[in-house]
Amino acid sequence: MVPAMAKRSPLMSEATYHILAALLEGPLHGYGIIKRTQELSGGRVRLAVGTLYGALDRMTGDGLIAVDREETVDGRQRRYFRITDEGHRAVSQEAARMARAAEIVRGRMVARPGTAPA
Amino acid sequence: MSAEVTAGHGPRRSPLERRYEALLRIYPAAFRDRHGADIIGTLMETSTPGRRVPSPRETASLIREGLAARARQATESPVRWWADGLHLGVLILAVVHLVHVGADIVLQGRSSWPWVAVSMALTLALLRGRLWAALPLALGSAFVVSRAMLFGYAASADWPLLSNATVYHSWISLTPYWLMAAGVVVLAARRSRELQPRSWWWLALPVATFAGDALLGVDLYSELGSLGRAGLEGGLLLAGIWVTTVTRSPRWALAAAIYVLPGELSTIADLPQTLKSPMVTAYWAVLAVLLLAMAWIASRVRTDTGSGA
Repeated sequence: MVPAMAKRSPLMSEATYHILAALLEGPLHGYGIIKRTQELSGGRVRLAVGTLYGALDRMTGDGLIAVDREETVDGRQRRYFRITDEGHRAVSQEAARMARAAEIVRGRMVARPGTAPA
Repeated sequence: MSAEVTAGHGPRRSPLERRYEALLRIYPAAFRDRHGADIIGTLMETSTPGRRVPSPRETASLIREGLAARARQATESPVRWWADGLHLGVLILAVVHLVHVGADIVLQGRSSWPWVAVSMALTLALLRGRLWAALPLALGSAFVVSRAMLFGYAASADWPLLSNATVYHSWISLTPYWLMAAGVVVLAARRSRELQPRSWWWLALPVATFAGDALLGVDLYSELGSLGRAGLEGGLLLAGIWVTTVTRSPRWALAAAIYVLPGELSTIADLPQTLKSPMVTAYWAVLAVLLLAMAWIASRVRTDTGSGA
């Protein structure tokens, strides 16, 4: 018997979300993804290389991203990753879910005495 | 940060690059084949010029993700999760049995070499996943250690070749042996020929215990030996909790339960005696809490079904 938890789609991790967001504008290699996620998050998200490639390996296996091409720069390999249709759909759904979640709070916020409205 | 290029020899590897490559060995070979060169390239790009030692942040990340990748790889075999967990559980019981046989040799200064050979053969058979070789050895071992309960101590005292073999005088103490035998019977009955061989590192445990006894004089049953064993058990159970969280597989909880539950059963059966020692009570309570935590996490995460991933 499959437990109830198995039927619920797991929430997307923050690393996965930011990597997919970074790839929306086009294929990037590892260092490019690290820089782009840092820019998009205003410096809040700093992916360690081990964390990045663990996530890239799982996301490739899940069909969210794919290898776009490989280049050799200064004698070193650079592999570029691109977002797939499945990845595009997943990050769009996650963004919509978070927007709905944020709306629950925003719609109920009232100005409290002594605080400026948001 | 770019690599130095030497004519005809490709990029010259810096000390930092060589150290990162050494850290990459934590990852499974298949993962290194897929991403190793790319990871090194990215690590070198993110490193500040002139750096010679890997950054603590990247080191911690590589160790954590490398171990997680190994744990995930273990769940990718075609073996069903419960068969894999059962295999791991009975192997742990066999390894612990071998540890005690080694300790008996050192402490008692005597040995029953056929018994040592049977114990080693059983551990090796389970280590390599050879169930049909392990089956008679596991059943035979259970009968040998139960001989006083089955046939009376006097009748079994002079069994040829086995007079110094391990023997227990209560059924509760025999639980791990019969659990191990039952586990091997179940695995053999379902023809788990596809069981994966386990790491040779499992043999480090009996070897280290034997060396500690023989060379350093650290007796397995001494205070220091007991503390070492408790620390190792606690550490392995904590590692099991982490691996269960990472892999979302209940196999590690099953293996831990096979090892811990016979001891807990024995403790409960002799509760008044156990409660006299706060240390012993705390020890078994901590093991129980860690096991329950692992079981709870295993029940919360996705159960791996179907292919046994």
